[in-house]
Amino acid sequence: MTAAAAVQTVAATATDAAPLVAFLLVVSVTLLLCFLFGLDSEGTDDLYVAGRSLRPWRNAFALTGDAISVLTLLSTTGLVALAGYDGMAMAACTAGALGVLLVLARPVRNVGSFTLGDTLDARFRHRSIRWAAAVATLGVCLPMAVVQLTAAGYAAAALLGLSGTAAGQVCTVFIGSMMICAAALTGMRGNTMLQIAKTVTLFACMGLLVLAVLTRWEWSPDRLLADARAGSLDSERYFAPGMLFSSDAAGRFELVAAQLTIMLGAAVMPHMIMRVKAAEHGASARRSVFFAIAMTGVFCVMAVVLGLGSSAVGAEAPTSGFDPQSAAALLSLVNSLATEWGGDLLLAMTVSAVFLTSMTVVAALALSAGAAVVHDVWVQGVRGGAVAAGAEVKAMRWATPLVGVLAVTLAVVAQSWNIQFLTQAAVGASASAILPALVFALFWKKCTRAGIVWSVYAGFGSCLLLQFFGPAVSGTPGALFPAVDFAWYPFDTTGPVSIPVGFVAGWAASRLSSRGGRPESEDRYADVAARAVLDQENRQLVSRT
Amino acid sequence: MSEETAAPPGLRAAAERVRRRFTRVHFTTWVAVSALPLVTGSLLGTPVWGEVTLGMLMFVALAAELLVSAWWFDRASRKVWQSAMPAGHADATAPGSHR
Repeated sequence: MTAAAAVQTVAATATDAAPLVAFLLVVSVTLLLCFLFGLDSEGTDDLYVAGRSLRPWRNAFALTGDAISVLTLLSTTGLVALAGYDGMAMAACTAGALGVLLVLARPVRNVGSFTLGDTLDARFRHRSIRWAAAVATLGVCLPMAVVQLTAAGYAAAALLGLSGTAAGQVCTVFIGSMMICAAALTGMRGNTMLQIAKTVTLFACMGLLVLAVLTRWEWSPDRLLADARAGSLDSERYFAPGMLFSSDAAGRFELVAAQLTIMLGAAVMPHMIMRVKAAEHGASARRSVFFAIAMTGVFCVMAVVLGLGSSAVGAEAPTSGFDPQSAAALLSLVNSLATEWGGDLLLAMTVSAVFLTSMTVVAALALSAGAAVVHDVWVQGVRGGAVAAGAEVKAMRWATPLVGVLAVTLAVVAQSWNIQFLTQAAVGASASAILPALVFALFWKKCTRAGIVWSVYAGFGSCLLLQFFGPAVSGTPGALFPAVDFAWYPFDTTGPVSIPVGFVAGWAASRLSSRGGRPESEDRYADVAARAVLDQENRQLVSRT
Repeated sequence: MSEETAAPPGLRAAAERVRRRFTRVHFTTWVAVSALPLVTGSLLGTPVWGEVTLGMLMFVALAAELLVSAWWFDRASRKVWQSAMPAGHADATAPGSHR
């Protein structure tokens, strides 16, 4: 049975009303939350960072929600079902990535007001950095949103008992419309409530599924592992590295490269940066990341159990880990378990979790992208900050839906294309463009404006270039353009080249641009470094005594 | 640099020490574990306890390392921060204490 056939089977059996009722319930509750918590966002502080008021646990739940996208939910399970060890390694990296954010949390929260551009520009105060930050934000957020919407539409159609590209497109438009409402109405405060609701729903759903899996295998990990191995594509190699790419040296290198790219890129995406800035203190930002690490770790363990269960029930694994049909693994498992465990209820819970997961993350991405356009480009880049707060909020109310409409349109157009590589591209761009710029801006005294700008453009540009000339776009049967072959870069993952390029370009540009004198930004570094370790109120307290 | 934005002497250095130690331990561990398949090949798939393989035990150890090092980093950073506060103010300004 192929992956597509597995989804067709799910679609054929999932024709009860419960998933639809669950969906409508989720829609109602979501809209209620949007109205309750979103419409009072009046100032920019409220709109972008929820008034910097979030306590550690609340922010941790929201951060966990931001970290777990619909692709994390569906693909992680699919990857474990498909590739055993390699899938587990990728799941581990999802949690490990937050370790990067843990180190950056306090400085990122304290340096700069709202956006990635604010943090990067804190020392330099130049519009070129604002433009670079906006390019990086849009370059990461838009592809991520498109892939999320496509995957969500695909999964939603299957869970609602529909099949075919048109059904996926309709579901994508529906989820996208909800997302646009959520993003336009709520701002960060409402988005936080949605993320918390999503995290709770998701954990409840996955907990129930894990319980069902363990019960079916009589709480015997040995039996579950043995059946998972038996149900896999290659029982000899299932628990050894090499099933995701290939077992030769190149395949193993690509696995390592993919893991490190996720580790370095997944946690510094623009919406995660904005989330950290919403914490009430620098210390509370750090603590919320610590809690989020623990929660994401629990999620990954549950995803691994579900992936093993999926392989064990004989669910057909996807043909490629980054195939849109990797959703098939979780959906087939739910379909199989539903006959024993609550039937429609289990299916309805999964539908709710998938809807909420896709909608909240895309809303967060749209908020970040809208903030980059309005705050970084228009307010700071074009008008030099001379825009009233009311006008900025009004502009955001238009910009966020426009970004959402663009993402939904692209997702509908690309519904039948193989665009899963965009996820790798977005994570790779984040690791290659955003991480080097953040590290230089926050921790390197000799960094200059040119260094920041070049690390962003060189990292982002090299990532795009290598992705375009890689096997994900042409030259392979699963590529975006399978009929032509202009690929010369051998790997799906661009990180091994583009991440060093981002760092080296930033370092070289800083060195070259600071020749012949001490850059002004070096003087401002002490201020940024002080802000990175002390919150505003503490700095005043220390200076008074 | 204004007086208001000055950090107490030693605070930046202490915070940097904590950050560097966490970064060194965390990333060395994760890079080493990620790179293991390059040198061990299929050895990681060797069963060591029933169906449980060496690779699975490694992931459990990795999860423990992540949690313990993150907890240590949070605690060490808090201690550094509190030691920089003037006497009598450390508790009052601790995050969450006024809530």
